[in-house]
Amino acid sequence: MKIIKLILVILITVGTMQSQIDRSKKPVEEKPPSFSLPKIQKGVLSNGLKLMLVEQSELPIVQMQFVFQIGATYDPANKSGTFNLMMRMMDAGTKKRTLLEISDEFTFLGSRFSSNTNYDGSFVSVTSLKKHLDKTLEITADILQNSIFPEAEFTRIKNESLTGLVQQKDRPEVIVGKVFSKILYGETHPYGNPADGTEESVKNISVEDVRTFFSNYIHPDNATLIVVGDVKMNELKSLLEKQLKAWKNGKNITGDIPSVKVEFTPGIYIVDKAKAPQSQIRVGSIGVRRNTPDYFALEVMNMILGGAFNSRINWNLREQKGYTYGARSSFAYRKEAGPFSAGGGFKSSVTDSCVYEILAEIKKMRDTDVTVDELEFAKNSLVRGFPRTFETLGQIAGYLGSLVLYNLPDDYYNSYIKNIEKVTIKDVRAVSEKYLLPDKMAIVIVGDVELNKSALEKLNLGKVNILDANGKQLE
Amino acid sequence: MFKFFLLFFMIISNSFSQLNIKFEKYVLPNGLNVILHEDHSVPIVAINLWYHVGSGREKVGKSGFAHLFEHMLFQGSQNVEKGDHFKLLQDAGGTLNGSTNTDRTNYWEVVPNNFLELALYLESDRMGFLLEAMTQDKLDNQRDVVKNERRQNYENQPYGMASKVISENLYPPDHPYHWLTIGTQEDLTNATLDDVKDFFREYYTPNNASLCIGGDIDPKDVKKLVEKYFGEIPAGKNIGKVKPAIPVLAENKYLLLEDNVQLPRLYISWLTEPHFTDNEPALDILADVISRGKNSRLYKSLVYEKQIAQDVMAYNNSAEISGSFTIVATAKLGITLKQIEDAIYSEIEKIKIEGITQRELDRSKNELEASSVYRLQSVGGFGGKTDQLNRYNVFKGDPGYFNKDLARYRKVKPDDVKKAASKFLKQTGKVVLSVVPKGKKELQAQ
Repeated sequence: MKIIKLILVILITVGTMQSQIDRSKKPVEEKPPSFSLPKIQKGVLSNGLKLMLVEQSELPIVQMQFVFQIGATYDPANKSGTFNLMMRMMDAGTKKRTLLEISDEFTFLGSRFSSNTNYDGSFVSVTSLKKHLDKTLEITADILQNSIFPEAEFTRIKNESLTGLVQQKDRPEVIVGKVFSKILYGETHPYGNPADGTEESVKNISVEDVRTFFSNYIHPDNATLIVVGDVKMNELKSLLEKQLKAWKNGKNITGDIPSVKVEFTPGIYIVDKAKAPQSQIRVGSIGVRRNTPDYFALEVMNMILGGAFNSRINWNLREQKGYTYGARSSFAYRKEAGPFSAGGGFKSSVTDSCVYEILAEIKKMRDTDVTVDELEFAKNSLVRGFPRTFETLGQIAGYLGSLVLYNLPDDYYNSYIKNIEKVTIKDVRAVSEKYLLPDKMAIVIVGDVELNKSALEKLNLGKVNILDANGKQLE
Repeated sequence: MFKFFLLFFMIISNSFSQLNIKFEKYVLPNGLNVILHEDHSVPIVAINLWYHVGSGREKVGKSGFAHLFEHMLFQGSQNVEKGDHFKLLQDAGGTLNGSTNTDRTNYWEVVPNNFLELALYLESDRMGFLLEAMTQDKLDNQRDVVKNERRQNYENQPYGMASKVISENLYPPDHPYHWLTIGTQEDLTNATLDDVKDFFREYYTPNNASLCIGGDIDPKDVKKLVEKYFGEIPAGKNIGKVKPAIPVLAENKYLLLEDNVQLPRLYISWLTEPHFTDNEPALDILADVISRGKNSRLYKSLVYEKQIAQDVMAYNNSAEISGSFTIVATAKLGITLKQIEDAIYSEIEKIKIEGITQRELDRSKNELEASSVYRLQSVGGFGGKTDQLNRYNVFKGDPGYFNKDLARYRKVKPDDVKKAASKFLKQTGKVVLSVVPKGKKELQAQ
């Protein structure tokens, strides 16, 4: 009774108004909307280039992405970063145009060109207003067929890359990721080498390396062109035939990405950043390939563990304890097993508690079943949220890119919702037991060693190793 | 005759294409602005709510309030438990966020179209019934979260404190652009529950808000729902207009910051003008001409030819109360910031004397036009169509200001850019900040 009175008094003093509607009842969903996936049209050019098109005519924009089935895992030993450097300077000059001319022409059209690489593939992305599609394609075709990688540009861009690598040392969230990969995969598997290389490895790359990679691998037989936007198949095909007819096939890629062996030593690895106000922490191990049959159960499991704001890890460490601005977990699905990691940036003085709590959440996920509510939340969030991820041209192109890169069937996304809905509490538990191995995890921290070392040792999680920013052992 | 017309029409449509964003705007009796925009391409609805309050409304000693408050709006309200705001929207398949800058705070959700009512319910509950659920515990928790945000995005970032030093030196201590939106650790520590509640009562009122709903909607139904959930929230007191206040900077302030960085970086900042004033388009184009793309003046000179800088960028940040123009360049190893500074001024002075070419101007305008089309792809979220409609509504009173805004840029002539450079990028009256690696003072400018 007293409590009720007290509440009343407080309500009155803050001048609450009485709502005219019953706000204690939350609106329930109406009938779910029908949603059909964008239709994929396929074609082949006379030179063999495979084509995928999704027509979207709401805006006069066309987005194109050339997906090459080769990336940083093919970098030569001691020259990691070669693919990255080649892609990065692909628009540095052709037989017809200089670097500055290319940049001037694209900007004048309002067209965007970018080229980059990751472990699994390499990508040339171009966005253009419809009215400038022909001209934009002409310049793009010139780059794809006639890039010459001028010596002077190579020297300058290589130097820029090296300076960029030096600058990365300033960014704890970058260092922690690179060191984490190195601990997990070592130096023998390509996933342990950064796609953009190291200072040492980039120094070894010559202009000949880059030219050889370009002439060996940037060819239609190795690529799929994804187009999304305001263009019809016949119109697109004739434009492409005009511009890309002379683009010839090259060397077929041989050899697969080596499969991953788990060989790392679990324990704590710290890179010192004296007086850092935050510790960047990654806890994890080697995860799984993109085309695993466990994919859907893992997506649901990770949504509960650390995939969203309301997931266990963020709820505990941010909303309950106030230790962080945000903590998440994720699986990096690649052609081979990419890493699983959980972490974020955490207040320095509670580094040990954060490591402990993250591991505790991982253990709990493995040792106990998730609740019905949690399962429903995760599935709803994924299923109901699916349509909105097909809004922009870039989002659609990204989905098609995954089909191509990971060799998934064309109707893969049609069964996505069905596959998520099938996941049970048992399935979640099974993938937790299979992939979350808290006793065999690496804990990588970029933070203040002096402040945290002894507290971390007391956690009894194996040896506390001190490393430099390149991941080399210091003691 | 017919041919001539056709040709004429094509030229017009090529260089003056109009953006076509249809909307409907009305105002509830409590002052809430409502904007509806139909886009049926995907079965989703975007809700975007602006409160016309940012750190620019804060008082000395109370910095960081607007932003701390943004966090508190995700902590539940009278009928929504802590955590449920996120949980209900994510369970609906939605995505959501909010942000604060000097002039406004925005909140948005994107949900499947059958969850529109839920989103309006949640937004209205925290507009009308927030304080009943606000507790010291929630405030303490979010204060810690914000302090971590500050550590992550400022203190533990290379050059992270540069923007703070620049603001503090461009603006006098009583100017609300003197401090960062994130606030100081000290003011955050001192924020009391009463302070926060007062802030809410003053600024989080329907008459200080603009609600834009876009996407796969039927305006008839939406109007009913808006009336149902927002109609009963009483208007707050009248809030005065924010007045532009551009301080005078009569001298050059050379400043030094030693930081945990590998390379020295130079910042040069001048005061300009608030947004939507006459010189803003020329200043934006000037920033483009000197730093966008490889043919831009500063990139070409410092990064491409001389190779003394790793990167360079320039931007004109015209906001509600004032504006500033900033050039940032990172020196390569072995290069001093004095060398960088000289190279920058030599390019700026060239523009003041010779102006820019027609090609440079056209390149910038074309890029601007293309960007304005590319930006129409998303209906919701930061920078989506609903956010753009709200921006024009809050600052210009006209959600459909798109084409008028573009027209301001289209009419810029080369000479306007030259004049803007002379008028604002003055030799005397600027803040020059050197951020150098610890113990390397000799690399600073001047």
